[in-house]
Amino acid sequence: MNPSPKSFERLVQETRTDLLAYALRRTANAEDAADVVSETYLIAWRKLDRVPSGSHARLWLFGVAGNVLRRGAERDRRHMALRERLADELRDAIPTPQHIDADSGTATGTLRAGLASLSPRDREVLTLTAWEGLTPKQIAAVTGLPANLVRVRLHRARARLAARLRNAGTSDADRDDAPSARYTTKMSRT
Amino acid sequence: MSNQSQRSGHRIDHALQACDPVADGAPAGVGLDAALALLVDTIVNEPRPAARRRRRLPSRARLALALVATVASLGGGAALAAKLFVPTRTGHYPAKWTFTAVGPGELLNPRGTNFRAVMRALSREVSYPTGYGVWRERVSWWADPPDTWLPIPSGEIRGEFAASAFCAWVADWRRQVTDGSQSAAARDAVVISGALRWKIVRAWDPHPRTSVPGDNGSTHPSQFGWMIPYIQAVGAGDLRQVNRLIAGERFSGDFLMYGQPVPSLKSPRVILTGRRFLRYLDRETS
Repeated sequence: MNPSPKSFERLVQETRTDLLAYALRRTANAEDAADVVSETYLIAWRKLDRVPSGSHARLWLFGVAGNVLRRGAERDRRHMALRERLADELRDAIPTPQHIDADSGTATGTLRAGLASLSPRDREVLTLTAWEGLTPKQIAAVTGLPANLVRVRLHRARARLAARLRNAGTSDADRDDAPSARYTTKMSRT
Repeated sequence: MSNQSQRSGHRIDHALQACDPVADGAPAGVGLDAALALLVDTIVNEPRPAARRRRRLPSRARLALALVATVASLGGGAALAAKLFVPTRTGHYPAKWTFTAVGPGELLNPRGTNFRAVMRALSREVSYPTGYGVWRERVSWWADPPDTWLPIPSGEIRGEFAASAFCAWVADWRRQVTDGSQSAAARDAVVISGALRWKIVRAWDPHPRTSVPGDNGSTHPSQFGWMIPYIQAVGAGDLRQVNRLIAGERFSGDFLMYGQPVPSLKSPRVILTGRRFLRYLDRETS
């Protein structure tokens, strides 16, 4: 991608919705999501000549954002005021965890708990498939793994989640004590 | 993947979509637009690392190089092929904090000319029981075609072979026990009992456990922790427990075999796990 401010602005325009959603799905709160989005774009700016063009740019950004999430505490903490402003806007624009919990049925709670019980690797391929709507080939571009290996992982992850849901049974399905979706599905930062 | 597992995969995906925390799409609004615009403004004022300028060769040197290239291409394919060789080994290693996600080891270029040869060499780190060579071959399938441009840590490849070899040894142990070949079963059990000391297992998962904490008080096995119950069951000579583990839920996901190619299926390979895998192994034994 041509490393000019204009092409960067275009990149942000084209990917902001997807990247915001990606970050919100995997962080505990609006502050963390704002951190992930701003740091991902900061890295994209620095490496703009390496960002692939077209639809691949979104996948490249998901890959960077995934690394930013895993790196956790080591994140670049510059531009705090701007991040806080972005976080404020995010907080206003999204339902609070309480709203989400109130809207959730018991089956959803069990599913969230099941998803949270999986390893970060399993959760990553499942959520990239179900939430970001990516194909194994696209997930391969995000994770850097061959698409066929992604298919294998997806197969395993689905089997494990199905097993957890079967194990949860009806007694647990009546309880919905799972924390909010964003807390439950937060990616591990190990 | 079978039709049945594809259907169940879709069910899982649909169920997950129903609990998408951002199901209604990412938030939008004038305030958010303004905050993002400010962020972009600030970021573009950040200094970008200066692009490395490629030194242009003097015109005489360029001419000489062009001549050499022409002579080489006229001289034969071998010389040209040598020029086009893309190395697989990069000499770079991932940061330690990424191990849990991608595995340790040198980053390999999947588009390298000798990627498959490097993969085969890595596969020799673990041994398979006699007659299970095809299991090793089938693991190589997922690198073909190399449809990613990002480097793969060699540990990811070694780990996949280690898991596959472990399953092959357990499958062979089942067969020997069923056939009543006690000495062969004992030999297999020795290999299985040492699996946690395999080089890649120690490098990636130095303290394998059946249960490590996940998020919100949940647990899951560590990278190779799923092997432990199989090792214990084989050590105890408990065939029924091994069968229960293969067909069960918690430790069956990693116990798998790559099947034959099935061109008619969307996914080009069958991956056998769980009860289907057990039925397949039983058929092979009988």
